[in-house]
Amino acid sequence: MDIFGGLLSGFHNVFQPQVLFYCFVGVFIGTLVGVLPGIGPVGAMSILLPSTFGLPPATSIIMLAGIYYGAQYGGSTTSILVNIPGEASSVVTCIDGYQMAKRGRAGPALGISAFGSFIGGTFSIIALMFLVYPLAGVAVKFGPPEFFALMCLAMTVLTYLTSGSVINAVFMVLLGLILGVVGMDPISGMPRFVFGCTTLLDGVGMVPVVMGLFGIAEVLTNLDESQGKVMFQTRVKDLFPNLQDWKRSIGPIWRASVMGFFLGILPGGGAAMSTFLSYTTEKRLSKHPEEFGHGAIEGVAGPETANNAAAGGAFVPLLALGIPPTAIMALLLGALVIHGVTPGPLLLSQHPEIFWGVVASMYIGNVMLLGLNLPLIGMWVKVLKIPYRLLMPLILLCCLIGSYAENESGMSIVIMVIFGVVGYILRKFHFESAPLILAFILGPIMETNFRNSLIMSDGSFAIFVTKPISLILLIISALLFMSTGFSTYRKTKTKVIDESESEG
Amino acid sequence: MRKKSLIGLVLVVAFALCLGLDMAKPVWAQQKFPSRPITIFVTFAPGGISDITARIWARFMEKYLPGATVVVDHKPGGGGVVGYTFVANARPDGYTLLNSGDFFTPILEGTATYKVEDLAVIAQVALNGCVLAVGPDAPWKTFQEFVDYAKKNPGAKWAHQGVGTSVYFRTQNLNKQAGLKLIGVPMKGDSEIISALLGKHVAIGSLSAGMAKAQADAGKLRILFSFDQAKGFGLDPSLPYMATMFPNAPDIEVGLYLVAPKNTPKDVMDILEKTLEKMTKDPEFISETMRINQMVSFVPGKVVMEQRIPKKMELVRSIMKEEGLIK
Repeated sequence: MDIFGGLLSGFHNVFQPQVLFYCFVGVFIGTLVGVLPGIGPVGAMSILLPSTFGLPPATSIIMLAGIYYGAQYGGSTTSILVNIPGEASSVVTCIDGYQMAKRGRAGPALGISAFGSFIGGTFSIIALMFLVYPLAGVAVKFGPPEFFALMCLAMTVLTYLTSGSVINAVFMVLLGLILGVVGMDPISGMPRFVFGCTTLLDGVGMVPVVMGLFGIAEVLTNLDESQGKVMFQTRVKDLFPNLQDWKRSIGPIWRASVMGFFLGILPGGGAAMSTFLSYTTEKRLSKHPEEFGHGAIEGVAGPETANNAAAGGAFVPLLALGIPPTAIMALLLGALVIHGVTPGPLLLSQHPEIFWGVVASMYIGNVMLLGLNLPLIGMWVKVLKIPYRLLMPLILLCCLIGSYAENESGMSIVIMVIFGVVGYILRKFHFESAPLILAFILGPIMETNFRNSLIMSDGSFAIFVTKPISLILLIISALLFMSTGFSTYRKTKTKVIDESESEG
Repeated sequence: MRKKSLIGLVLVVAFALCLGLDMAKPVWAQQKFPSRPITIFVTFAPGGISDITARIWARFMEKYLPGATVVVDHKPGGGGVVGYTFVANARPDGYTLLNSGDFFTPILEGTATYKVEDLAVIAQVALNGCVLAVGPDAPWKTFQEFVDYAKKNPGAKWAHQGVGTSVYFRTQNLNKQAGLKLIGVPMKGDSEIISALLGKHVAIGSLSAGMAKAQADAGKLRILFSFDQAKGFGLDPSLPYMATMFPNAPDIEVGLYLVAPKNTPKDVMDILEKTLEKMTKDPEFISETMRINQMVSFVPGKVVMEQRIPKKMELVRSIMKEEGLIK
């Protein structure tokens, strides 16, 4: 397989006015969709799918793919500005991004997020080009036991996401797990905790919960605190990250690119998981871990890079094997089938123009997105100057539209409001919502894989330790868990000693 | 004064005419069916095989129903329940339709708020092809070899799309008929089944013909068995199928229907049924359908509702009882 020849032919095909136009349309719509909370790339892609029927297959995939990775760029905007994640993969960005905005550093946050997304996206395309076939083999090696072990690892690091009490985070994780139980049992298909309500059959729904816990709760909290206040009154000093920011972010960006790409290959919550694995890695490696949760730029640079790298990684199983790892990729697969192209392992040999066209377009798309997002930072920052009495209703409206648009069901709005109140109460008691959301997403995956593993092993738990990948992941989780426990023990011990000494 | 009362009279008559016309509109609308876009709802997320199928049907329906615009919309959730319930409760005017397979499973499970009679099948348009496939390095080259292996090793694992799906019940039916004691591992869709087979996590998988064929052509999977006669679905005609291996066994064909809410006016149903009948004779439609490894198979709605569905329901009910899914 001649990589450079293929890439050149891909660029040649992409540098046509029509193709460039559709690439731009895709990334532009993707950015918009990513910014608007609740309306996700899947919805936009499915609405625009019929409009691609008259186009050649490569062009239509280029546009749809553009929507997908464009949304990863836009998702961070609302996370940083108003603490409302646009996607599951933007939840972690809220933690430090919003704090940075509150300190008048929204511009650098948005900027580093755009640059990080660009670097992550480009890195993942390069890696995709060279590693697509070997890596596809790795993706299928992950069966239920390996996934369960990976989820264990993810659960262990969830507690790092909090800047407050670890016990509170654990409580949130448990709550998230319980919420994840509602819906159809993944193995037997029988409804659980559905109370006869058809809408709950698919679970409580991530979008209403996120809109409620982050959006509505934010509005309620602000109603409580302010009277005609504005987000902050200090002048917004810099619009772009300065040298200091770059020095701190470069490491996280590189680490997150690698992490995001490899995790994106795996089916399931690859993008979301990569964001908080990146966050916790940076927190552990940082010289100032206490800054995390209060506006550490690494906490924005890492996760934002990771989710774009994961978007690139998700193309690996699709292009190499014809197996889509996520619902969005499944939509791209459907689009290919509609155009008469059956994606599978033969895609590269039968339709090289599609493979290389998509790869080449991703380079160009990322450049376009950087060009789109950077100048907009100035505009976005002005949003923060809107007085609360106008901004809050706007947020409320976006949340309402977002949660209703998913299912056209009134139940989603009810759920959103309930969780808005719950989120408000949680904030009053200094509980953080991020671990809850992430446990809510990962819990069902963990359960399904655990039970499937036991089915495969006829009930024996040995399967988790006899499979090498699973064993390694479990050992890492155990080590991480013990080290957290140990350091908390030491901190508490030191505190007790200090207190007794000061009393003595 | 005469002038005024004349104007008044004219106004009243005009008003009455308008009212009359307004009331007559439904009759007119009926005569001019379709006068609005028709929406086919799909019970799964966009991009999946149901979506693709519905879009093909929509295109050809427009061809054979002059003046019609047919669009595809989605109501995913609950394994189809959300979509079925939605259409069962929709206005029966022929503009809200459903593309689905067998919608009676939730009724048997008890999760449905609708009854079989709430949905009126216009016609069966096609059959979905299902196959059994193994990984590329698997030791079985023919289905008979696998059957022998499975009989000697009860408890071999097979991957399926989830308890309650048509493919699941069809394969369980086969298990029963062949006396195989396989243990099912649920997956979320064909993609996961293919991953599981490639990664050697399960022995055999039961999935839709289209996805399997794409992999098989690349040498990544080996298709051992097709439930329906393989030729009509664009598969290798030498594959064994239910009728050859188990001649007297009942089978659960996975029919794909176009469905309307009950009480849709008869002439609307007839127009739609005739459109579908013409569509299924179109050679381009047949080849498009075969390209996604389904087979065109037109069965009038009446036959489906009165014969096919009750028979299938009984078979599925007995399987569910045996598995303890229902009492």
